Amino acid sequence: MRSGVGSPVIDAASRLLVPFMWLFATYVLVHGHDSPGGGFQGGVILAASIILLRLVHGRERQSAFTSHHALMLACAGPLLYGGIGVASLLFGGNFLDYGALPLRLDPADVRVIGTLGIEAGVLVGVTGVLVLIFDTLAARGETPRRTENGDAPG
Amino acid sequence: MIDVLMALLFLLLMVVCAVAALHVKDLLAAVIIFGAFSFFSAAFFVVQDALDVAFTEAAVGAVITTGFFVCAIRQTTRGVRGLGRTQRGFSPKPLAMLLLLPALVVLLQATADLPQVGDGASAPFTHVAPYYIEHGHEDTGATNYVTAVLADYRGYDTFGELTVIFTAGVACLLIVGGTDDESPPQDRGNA
Repeated sequence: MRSGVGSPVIDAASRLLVPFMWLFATYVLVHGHDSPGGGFQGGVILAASIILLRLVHGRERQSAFTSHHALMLACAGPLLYGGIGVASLLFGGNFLDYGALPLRLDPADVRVIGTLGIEAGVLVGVTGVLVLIFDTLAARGETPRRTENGDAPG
Repeated sequence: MIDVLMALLFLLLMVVCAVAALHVKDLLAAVIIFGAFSFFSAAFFVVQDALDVAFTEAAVGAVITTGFFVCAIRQTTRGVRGLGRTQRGFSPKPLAMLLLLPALVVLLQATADLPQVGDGASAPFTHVAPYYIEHGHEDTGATNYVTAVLADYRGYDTFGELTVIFTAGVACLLIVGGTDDESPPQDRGNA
C-alpha cells in the first residue's frame, strides 16, 4: 500500500474528486437538520476521501494527515461530544441538554448549535476511527522500516 | 405499486448478489459483489423512504467496508482454501441444509406476525413516535426528524454509538498492529 497506484488518470481524477468530497461532507454535516445525513455520514465521506488519497498516492506519502493525526481525531470526537454533554450539565441542564448552554440566542437556535456541535464530534470521531482502521490494516505485513533512531527491528 | 415492484426487484438482486458472493471462489470478486449487495440494499432503503439509512448503507457498506475487505485480502490470500470439505471427504453441506430448514420455517412463521410496512397502528408508531413528529420541530429546530431523534431526543444513545466506534478503532489498533512500530511482535523483543 506504500507505493500507491501511480496511474495519471486515477491521480488526476482523485485530485478533482477530493475537494468536492470535502465540500459534500461539510454540506452533509451542516445540512443534517433539514436533509438526510449528519455527522456520521459526513465523517464516512471525509474518511473515504482520505482513504482515496492513501490508495492513489501511497500510504502517508505526500500526506500531511498521518495515522497519528487520525488517532488524535478519533479521540477528539468522543471528547467533543462528551464535552458538550458535560458543559450543558455544568450550566444547570441535564447531560446533553443543549438548551442549557449559555448562548445569547433564541432557545431553538441554541439547540440547533448544540446538535451541530455533537454532530461535528461524531464526524471527527468517525473520520479518525475509519482512517485509523484503514492505516492499521494497510500497514500490517509490510516490510518493517528502519525506525527513527536507526536500529532495524529484528 | 411501482414502489412495491422496485422494492421486490432490489430485494431479488440482493439475494442474487448474496448467493453469487457465496459461490465465487475469488475472494476479491466476492468483495466486489458484496459492494453491489450494499448498493442494492441502499437502493431498497431509498424506495422505502429511509433516506438516512440508505445514505449510511451506501457510504459504509459500499465504499468503506469494501476498502477494508480489499485491504484484508491484500494481507492474506485471494483464494478459498480448506472450505467445503473437511477430513476424509466429509461434506457438511447436507447437514447444514438439514439444520437450516427448521430455522427457515421458524423465521417464516415469525414474519407472519410482523406488522405491515407503514402500518400506523403497529407498536413502534404508537408510543413516542407521534410525540416526536408533532413536537420535533419546535423542540429541536430540525426539520429532519431522524436528526432530531438521533442528536437530540436520543443523544445519549448516539454518544454510546460513537463510543462503540471509538472502541472498534482502538481494538483494531491493539489487535492488528501499532501506528509507529510496524514490526511484528516477535521481532520487538530483540530489537
